Amino acid sequence: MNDRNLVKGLFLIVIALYFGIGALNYPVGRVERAGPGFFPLMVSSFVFLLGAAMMVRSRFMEKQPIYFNVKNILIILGSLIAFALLSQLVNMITGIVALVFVSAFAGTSYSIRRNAMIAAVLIAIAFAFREGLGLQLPLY
Amino acid sequence: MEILHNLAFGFSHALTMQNLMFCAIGCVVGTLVGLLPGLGPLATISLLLPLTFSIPTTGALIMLAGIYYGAQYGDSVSAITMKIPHASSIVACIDGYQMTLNGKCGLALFTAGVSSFIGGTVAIFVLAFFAPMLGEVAFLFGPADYCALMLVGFVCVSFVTTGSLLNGMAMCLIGVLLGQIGTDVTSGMQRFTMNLDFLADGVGLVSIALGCFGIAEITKNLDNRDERTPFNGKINLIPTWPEFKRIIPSALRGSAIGSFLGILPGGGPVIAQFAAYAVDKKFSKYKHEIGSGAIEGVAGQAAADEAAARTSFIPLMSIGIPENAVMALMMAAFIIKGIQPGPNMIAGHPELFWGLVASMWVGNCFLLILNVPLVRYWLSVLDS
Repeated sequence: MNDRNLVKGLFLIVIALYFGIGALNYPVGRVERAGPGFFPLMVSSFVFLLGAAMMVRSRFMEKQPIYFNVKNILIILGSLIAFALLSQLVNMITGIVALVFVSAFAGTSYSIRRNAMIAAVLIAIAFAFREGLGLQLPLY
Repeated sequence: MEILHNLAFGFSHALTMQNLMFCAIGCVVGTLVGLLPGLGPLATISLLLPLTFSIPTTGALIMLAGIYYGAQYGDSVSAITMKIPHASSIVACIDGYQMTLNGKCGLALFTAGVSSFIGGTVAIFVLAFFAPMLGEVAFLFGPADYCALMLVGFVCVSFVTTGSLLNGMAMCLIGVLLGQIGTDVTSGMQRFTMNLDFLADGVGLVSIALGCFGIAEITKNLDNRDERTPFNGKINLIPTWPEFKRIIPSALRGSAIGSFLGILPGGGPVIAQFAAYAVDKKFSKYKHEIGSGAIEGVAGQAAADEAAARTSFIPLMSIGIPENAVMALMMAAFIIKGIQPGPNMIAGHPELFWGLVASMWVGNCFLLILNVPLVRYWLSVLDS
């Protein structure tokens, strides 16, 4: 499973199946009178073929190991989700602070002072956007 | 003559206080992100895209364009001094860094700055001349032709992307599938919205851009641990006359190559640099020196890089096909502003098109000042 090309093909097939099966829920119509499901079905079949071709090809090619840092990706995604939820439920300043302090775990070194500074600058920028440019930001 | 008239019209828009300010902001931000490893124009433009909602259209586009071509200037600085390339300055690492090792770092920086200026200037004339011409041809296009053009665009994009043709095709088609989310244009039926109201209008361009380019770039760069190379920070910028004379032919050659490759869909700065470097290696009077720190090795590629960065706006603005990821983001910025880039844009929003072209030259001047006399200060940013 540790092969870039194989995983790529698999991923494409999953996407194609999701959109293709979804498209079958809408009227497909005919070529001369296409329904809402026609085009997605057509495109996802192409994607399916491409994915299958990639999987077949991966058998004949040298394996390229996949490397990705799950921990960092999860930290960054988590910090973004935390930011979105906190901004929606509490306010944006809390969201920004959470974003900075959580995402900093993905770095090599962790300094509370530096995080505080980054958060302060980001909050200042957010204020500048609200006051200067008139964006509606739920800051507090 | 019409071109001169149009350019004058463009300058009247580019030289307003407000647009000058946006141009300067774009160039400074661009140089900065070009210098700093780990941030590129892609990530920066995608992060700044939402901001353009609240800025006037011409100003917003001038600023984003400034970030793009400013970054092309800036990243040659980090490539020359520390051999840290970005996507668009790989070639500058070869001869530029050799010159630094030979103690001619200042000369390399001067050469890169001046050549970029020459490349940019040549490309702007090409842009002003060719984009409207191509635009007029595109007026004759009907729906079927546009469909064909789209398919050509797909194939071109697939060819250019790093990796195999299959990858590129798959990438384009996944984009098309994401575009299916939302309300169907012909029947009005909601597709793939999972009953979420905010998906009825489709997936927002800004969210996709931010996710694909901004956040993905940053997570990817977290794992890169580049080693820094020692650089003592002492530079002597002023070249001697014979040195200066060597810059010009090579820079002009690079400009021509860059302008041409920039127009072709799928060309763009990276390919242009390599092409210019290869041509210099073959035809330059000093070809034996190239590879071990020759002025030509820096001048040609810097000019080509900058020229291609500007002429890559031509396919976007005249036929509405973005030829690389940054241009796709620029296209998103146009669309957010309610303007469809393409043949109708030049006729319908002449102030936008000519203003942008003129601002590129203004930006060129800003960047020359930022990158040649003021380069020491940027280097101190890099040091810290």
